[in-house]
Amino acid sequence: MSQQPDDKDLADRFAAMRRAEGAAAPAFANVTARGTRQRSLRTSFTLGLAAAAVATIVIGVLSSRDRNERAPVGIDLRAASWTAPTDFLLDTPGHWMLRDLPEIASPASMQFDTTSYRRTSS
Amino acid sequence: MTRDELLRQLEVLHPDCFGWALSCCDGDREEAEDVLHTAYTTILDGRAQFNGRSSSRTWLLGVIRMTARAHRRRRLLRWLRWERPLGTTDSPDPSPDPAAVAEGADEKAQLTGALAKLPGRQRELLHLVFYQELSISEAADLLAISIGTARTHYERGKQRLRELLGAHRP
Repeated sequence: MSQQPDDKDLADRFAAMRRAEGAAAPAFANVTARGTRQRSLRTSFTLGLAAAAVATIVIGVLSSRDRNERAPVGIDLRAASWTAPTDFLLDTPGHWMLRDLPEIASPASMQFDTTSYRRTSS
Repeated sequence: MTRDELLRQLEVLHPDCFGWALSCCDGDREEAEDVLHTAYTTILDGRAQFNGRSSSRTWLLGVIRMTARAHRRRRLLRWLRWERPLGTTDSPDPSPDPAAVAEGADEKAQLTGALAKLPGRQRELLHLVFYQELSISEAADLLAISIGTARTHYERGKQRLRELLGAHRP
């Protein structure tokens, strides 16, 4: 105990406070039995919230997936085509040669003179 | 120590423990009861064990203080997560003696108000020395501070408390 003699005024006040709080203290048995129901309710509430959040996410994901599967897959080519303002620079003379294959005459149309062929060796 | 002996000892110290819990919870009676319940459960379950380094009373007050701090942290976290506490389902104990409560209620209110204006450390020290009747060295041990620091807080706390209480007097 470290109180000094001239601390009696404070000691008296604290003693009165101690008496008042001691009289107003809850019964020991009530304190030891307290809180179990409250805690279980709190736990249930938290679990319920978590379950609701998970269910919302799952439903959201599933519904968005269904929507994506049902939507027709297609590309609007008109929207995809685009002409650059500098395209005219590519329009050079003879530019068609770069885009087409050269035409080579077919063998059937070729004329060979087989009669003029001579064997030189025996 | 058997569980029954422990229960009996807790019951004897219970009124003082409640006062300390109230002080640790800034006078919030509901929270103080929660803190006491948790502290008692912790002790009875053997999760907090007395190691004999201090008196059992000092140790018990230390357990209550740590429990109150943990409660405060949890409450802060709940508040940060926007999880509002549910309504209380257990009504507070209706047993307080009205005559005893009325006795010195005014003085108690003055002292509580003045203590609330003190810094936390000074408030704790004054409570431990005057209310719990611990020595300054025991209080320093409980608060995990040096005895020199405890003395300084104690003297400053007393001086400030007297000033505040003097201001209350007509």
